[in-house]
Amino acid sequence: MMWFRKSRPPELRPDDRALVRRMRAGEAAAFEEFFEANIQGLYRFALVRVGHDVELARDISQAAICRGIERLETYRGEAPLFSWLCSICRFEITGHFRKLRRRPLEVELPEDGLEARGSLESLSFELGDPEDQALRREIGRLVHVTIDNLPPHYRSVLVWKYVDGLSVREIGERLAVSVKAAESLLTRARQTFRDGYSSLATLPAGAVHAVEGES
Amino acid sequence: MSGELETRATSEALGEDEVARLLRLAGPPPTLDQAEVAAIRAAARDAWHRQLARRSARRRQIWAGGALAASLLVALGLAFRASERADPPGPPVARLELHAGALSVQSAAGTYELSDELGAGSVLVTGADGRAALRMANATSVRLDAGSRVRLVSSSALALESGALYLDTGPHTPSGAAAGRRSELAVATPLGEVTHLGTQFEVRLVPATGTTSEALRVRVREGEVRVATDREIHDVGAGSELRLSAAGELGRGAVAPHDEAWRWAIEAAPVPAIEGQTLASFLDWAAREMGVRWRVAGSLPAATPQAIVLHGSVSDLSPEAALEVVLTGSGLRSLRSGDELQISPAGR
Repeated sequence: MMWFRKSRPPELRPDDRALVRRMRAGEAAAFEEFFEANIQGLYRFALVRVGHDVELARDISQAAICRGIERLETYRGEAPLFSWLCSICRFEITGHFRKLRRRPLEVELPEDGLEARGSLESLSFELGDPEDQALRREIGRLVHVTIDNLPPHYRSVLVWKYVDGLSVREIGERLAVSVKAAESLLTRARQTFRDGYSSLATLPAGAVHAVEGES
Repeated sequence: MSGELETRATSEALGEDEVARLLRLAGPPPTLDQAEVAAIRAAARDAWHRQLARRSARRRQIWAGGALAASLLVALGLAFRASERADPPGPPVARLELHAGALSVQSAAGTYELSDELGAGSVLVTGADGRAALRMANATSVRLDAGSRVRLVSSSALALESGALYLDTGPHTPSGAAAGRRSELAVATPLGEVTHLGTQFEVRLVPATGTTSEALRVRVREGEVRVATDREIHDVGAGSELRLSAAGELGRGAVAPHDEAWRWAIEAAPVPAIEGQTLASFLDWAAREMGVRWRVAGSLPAATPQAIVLHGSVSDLSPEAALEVVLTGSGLRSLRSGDELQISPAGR
């Protein structure tokens, strides 16, 4: 059973392009923004593709972000910056296994498909294992993939609210905005997450409840 | 398939509660710890600085090529000024410690008065009789020989456009090399990029002559240096020299740490404050600057240099003159023999 999300036409990413322009002009704050927004997501991207070898994933994510920086001038803004970095990360993983004269681990991930890369870059996935543990892991992974592809401020408020358990008021204080503004941001973040996740993971109805119920 | 489609959790089916459940179910994602992030950040920042330095050097190379067409000089000059203005003024990345002869500092705003603090993007130009010593924010000592032009890209990246630089990043330790310590300062040139492990080395752009093309020459006094071009990587160890021409010719040679070739760098070295320092620590510094080892000789007890505490200042002197003044004031003298500096009581 495999579902694909419909592909979205490529669009230019003015925010990402502006960030890259600022980095190329030597702005230190832009480097920090770029690094903070991408490194953990790149690590998770590599982790599932190298058999959860944490040391290798760390080395690969370092190599990928450095290589991305070296190639910044080739970024044209047709895909989100994070997706562009992920494509570089794929090359690093392939290169690593080529050096070892080994084939890459056979990891079939929905977001690696060409069609799927079109928009989140596009996402889809296949539920190959009906067991709940596998389902739980897959749901968790897809949630993290979705989160990693969100704009950084959406990412932060969702994690603060639903993982760290902060109240809307505390989120507002952390962002130095009013409770109303924090609530509005949270709503938009949830909507964006919902769109991204739905395009990625078309789960059987009730699957989340079923898995959650066992925990 | 239609049945499957009906079971999809679509955007509409994922309500607020469902989003919350999903996020809680997924829990915190696997993450790199702080130390790992810090190490990767340092590597990424290195890569970024190197990239900025390369870009700066490339821009300069384009400018130099354009200068061959005299009729376009004015137009290119205007283009160059425009590209200069594109660089925003940066934060201080180095401090001017010492200079002699002609030295100017240029920025996007034009040439400005010398000051202790030098910002990112500044370009230092020494005249035919000029030399200068800088201290980078990461504590590396950088010296400019006469007739040099260097851009301070950041606190860890320089772009050498002409002339020569001498860098001293502090004593080289095998443990640092073994641990794969990354370069803290990269020098970009039109012919390649030079990075290092803790070391003393010189990077010089040798101008083209009637019979030879422009060349990058790297001499290593201590530690180890890596030279990377678009096509290849060369490692250069202590006591050796590498010459890489624009035509692609590669030459290697030897240059001892105490060779006269290092004289300009010794003369350009700022002398540190000695107040309250022991003679032994001053001798450590002076010997390293001169590329030699020191030892007590004659009837001088081995513990004497450690027991003598210095007072006063010799900051206005060259390292060799400072050594003579300090030893004389301590009732001692030095005798140079090859790569050894023998310290003995005066009058013997």
